[in-house]
Amino acid sequence: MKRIWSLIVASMMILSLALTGCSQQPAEDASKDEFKSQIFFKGSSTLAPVVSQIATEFIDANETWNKVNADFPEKSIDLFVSAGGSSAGVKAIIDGTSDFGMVSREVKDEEKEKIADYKEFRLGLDVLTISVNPENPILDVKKNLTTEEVMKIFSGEYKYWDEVAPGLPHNEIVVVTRDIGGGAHQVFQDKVMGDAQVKAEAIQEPSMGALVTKIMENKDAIGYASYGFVNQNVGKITPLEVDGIAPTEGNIISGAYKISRPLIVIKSGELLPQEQLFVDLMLSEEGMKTVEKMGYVPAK
Amino acid sequence: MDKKSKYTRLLLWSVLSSALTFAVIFFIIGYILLKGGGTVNAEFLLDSPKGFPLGSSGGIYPAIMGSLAFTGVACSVASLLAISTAIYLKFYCSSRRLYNIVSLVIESTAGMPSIVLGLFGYTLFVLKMGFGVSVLSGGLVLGIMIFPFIEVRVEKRLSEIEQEMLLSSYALGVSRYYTIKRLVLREALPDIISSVALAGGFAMGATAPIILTGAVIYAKAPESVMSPAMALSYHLYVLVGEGAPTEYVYGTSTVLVLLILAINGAAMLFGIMKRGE
Repeated sequence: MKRIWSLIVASMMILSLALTGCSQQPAEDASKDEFKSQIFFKGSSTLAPVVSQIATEFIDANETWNKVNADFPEKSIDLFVSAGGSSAGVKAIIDGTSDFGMVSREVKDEEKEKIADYKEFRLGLDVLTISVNPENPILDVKKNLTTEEVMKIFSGEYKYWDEVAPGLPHNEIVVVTRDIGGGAHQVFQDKVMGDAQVKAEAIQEPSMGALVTKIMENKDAIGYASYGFVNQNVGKITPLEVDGIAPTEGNIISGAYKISRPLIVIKSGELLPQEQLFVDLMLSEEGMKTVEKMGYVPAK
Repeated sequence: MDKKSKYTRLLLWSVLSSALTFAVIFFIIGYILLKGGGTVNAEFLLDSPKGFPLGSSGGIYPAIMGSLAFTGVACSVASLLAISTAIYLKFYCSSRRLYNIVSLVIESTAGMPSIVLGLFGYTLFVLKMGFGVSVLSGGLVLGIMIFPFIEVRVEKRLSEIEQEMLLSSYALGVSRYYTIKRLVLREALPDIISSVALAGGFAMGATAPIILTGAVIYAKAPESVMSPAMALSYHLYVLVGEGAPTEYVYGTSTVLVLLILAINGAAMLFGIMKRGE
């Protein structure tokens, strides 16, 4: 009996010692002696594939840090990307659980206040297009909606398509949105809805991909599809003009198309040299090309 | 209705229920393998996910290695604690009240929603203990999830050890410690291993506990327990959410199902071989 107890106590002590060792790891990493080979990104599911793509190419080309810069040690490059939404990205920076946060909306002032030595890097721009299925007859009748019409459709004031424009079928309008608490919806709420609320029957999708899929599947559906996804699915979903302005690259850059949102990477505190290196890569011509390839408007 | 026809009905009902359950399970597994089998090839197994949305081309190698890492950590931690607990409850715990309390705690843990465990793990391991989002944090949460699963099975197996053997051992003056180590554990080993393996399959399929604590949508194959990792179950969740091509979704499901079947199959085979000795 005694032996068993001493064994248990001993193993608990060893375990706790081992775990304490682990918990000190991040602190050691932060010190200058220990090179931090891992960089962690968390946040917007819109930005996650862009950062992953840049990271994949970077790792494939270099493998270890010393190949990027001879001053760095020969340690393997570990870049991690985790999704969860813009708000999760901001929260991860506040909690200190991630090195960088990915945010596809403006960071609010009250959020900035909680982040010490706040820094942000703009990768590009995305807009929310008001998109429908290419088979929707609205494309033959009118290609333009006013902000007020969009608001009435999303708030449920217009229930059937024939209320939007005469000549359209008496089919119920299927409104598709992102999760109401997320970053994309916040942009839509601010720029289109104002004080009005999206109708309760609207279908809330957990990601942009799922939202776009819903529009592709249902010819009575309408939703705010990200510009990147519209470019990825040409012919499968069609964007409408809003207030007579089409979501084209020119209109997005000039700011004429108003339902836009920035794609930004945020950070708390000074960047380590290796972090700075990767940020420079993202903002380089090569990085901007990836942003464009993914369908967004690059920042530079 | 006479007794005999009542019995026949009961028998018929049980046979039909079992047949239905088997049919459904075989249909699901068969359907996944049929739909996803075509996608699974060497490149799919050995490449990293690529494309837009991420995972619409390339492969799932980091996710396979990540899943194995999470499961490995979970099984090591959970089996160590669960087997010790079972031995304590069976051979050392003399207070009925204490036994009831510990059993109640274990049963409650078994009923805990996995997302709650995930949130708990995020607060305790990721934030408070500073392990960060890592294989260790995720594995520990999965370990808590499968702990009751292993404990209950091992305790049951220990109860089935013949009393006669134990009493003979004690009567010969052999200590309790030595009896447990050389007789009881050796006797129960095949079943303990198969319980741990079954629990491993359970852990490998779980997604909610690792979303906040260890899984990421993009990473290389894990090289240390302190780094985050991809996991098959979470990768599947992301693929479906992002509207990735269905063949990649089915391909990933196929690999996950085959891995779990392989682990369970190996454990069963081990058990059969040990008993056949």
